[in-house]
Amino acid sequence: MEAKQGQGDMVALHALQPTVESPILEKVYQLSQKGKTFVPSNLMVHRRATVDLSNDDVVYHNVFSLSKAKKFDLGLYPHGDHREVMFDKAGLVRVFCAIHPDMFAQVFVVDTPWFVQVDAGGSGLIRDVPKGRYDLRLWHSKEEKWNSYRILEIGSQNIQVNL
Amino acid sequence: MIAIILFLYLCAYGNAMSQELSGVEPLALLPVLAASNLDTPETISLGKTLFFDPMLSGNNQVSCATCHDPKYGWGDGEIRSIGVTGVVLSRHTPSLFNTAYQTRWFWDGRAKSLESQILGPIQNKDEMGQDLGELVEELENSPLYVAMFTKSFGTATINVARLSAALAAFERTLLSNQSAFDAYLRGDQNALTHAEKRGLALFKGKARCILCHHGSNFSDRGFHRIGLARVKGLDMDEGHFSVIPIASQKGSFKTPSLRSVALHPPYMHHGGLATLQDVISFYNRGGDVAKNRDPQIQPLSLSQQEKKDLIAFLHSLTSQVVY
Repeated sequence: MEAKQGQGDMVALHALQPTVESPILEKVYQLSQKGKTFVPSNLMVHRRATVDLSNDDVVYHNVFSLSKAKKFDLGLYPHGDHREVMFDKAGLVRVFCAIHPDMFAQVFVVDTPWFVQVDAGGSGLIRDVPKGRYDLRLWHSKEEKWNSYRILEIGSQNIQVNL
Repeated sequence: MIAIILFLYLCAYGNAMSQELSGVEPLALLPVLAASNLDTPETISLGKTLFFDPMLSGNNQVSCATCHDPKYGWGDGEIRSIGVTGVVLSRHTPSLFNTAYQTRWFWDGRAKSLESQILGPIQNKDEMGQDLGELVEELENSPLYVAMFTKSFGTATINVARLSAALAAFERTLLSNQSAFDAYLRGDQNALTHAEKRGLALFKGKARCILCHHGSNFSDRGFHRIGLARVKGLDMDEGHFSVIPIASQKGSFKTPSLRSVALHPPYMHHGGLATLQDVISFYNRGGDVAKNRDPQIQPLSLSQQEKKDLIAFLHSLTSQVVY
């Protein structure tokens, strides 16, 4: 499924029938601390995904979140070190550095394996979606919530959705 | 195999300590401020008048300038000041040099804008002890201020938002950006003495200052617990932990700018280090309290000459006070 929308937006497909089998995703995502910023500043992951937080700066950082969907405090760690966080609840997780309050990232944890973050060119691709009915949801940054956009029937053909 | 791995690690570490450090912005000239729309000559002039006016305090005896005095580098030279009640405050008065370049205000970073910070000391019962409603009324009864607010904002309305906007506009003009080091950065190789140049090299290298005091304003805009001993008679000060309740932040305080630092002793959030010599000696011994100390603070083994050179460099950051 190909989605076209403005830059930086999030799209997620939620299966509307329990018979659709979700693949188990093994991907480990990267969230780097570099130049006293988080790279990327917005990261979209599936529920139960592991994110590797590497400190690529020469100074120490202390990554933490107090969000409902995931609370953690990784403590101070130096250049070259990594910490892993597993995001076990769907929701928006705001990530900060306790030392450098200007550093900020958002991890969007979705309860579906079919999602995409629309790229700088305004498009995104969700591959390998099994046949079935899906609720296509869009993230509304002002309201800070997912809103249903359209019910989609997905068959054996590629489909394009202009959002 | 172990030797090869070790070798690679050392290369990576050496690289990380070179000039192109990620997360450590180079020392640089201060960029020109993106002035807010309200920073006009009229608002700056109004802010300046308000800043020096004791009418802003509850007993009409204390102005902003009582503690942020240009004669003391926009500080007050005191360890910890007293305000309208005569009670000694719990923290040292910070200098206002380059306050416009901060992103968090107060030693603990609890204010996210200069405009909101400004209203704190005015209302604090032990600092200026003023009720904002009463202050607005007093200003409304002053023909001078009615005229100045009208000139600044187009209408005669006097309110808290306009008051803090004008004070902030003035405070954003309190700059330290014309030092010998600035001349050196602009290309004048003779602007620094040999001792100051040696001090600069130490600052960026052996003395590790640059890990926190970097960028154009000599600050990482961050918060650190550097191993200061608790001051007798003062309650435990949790610092940035009161804003960010994360363990490492207990007793952490904001990294101050070092521009014109020689003009406003004493130093640290509690004002407990009287001179720059004391500050350098403190860092040279790796702080005084190891518990929960930021791991970036380590003993430095500086020689007497190196300490002198560092202090010489810090003096080269002094800019004339202009306002």
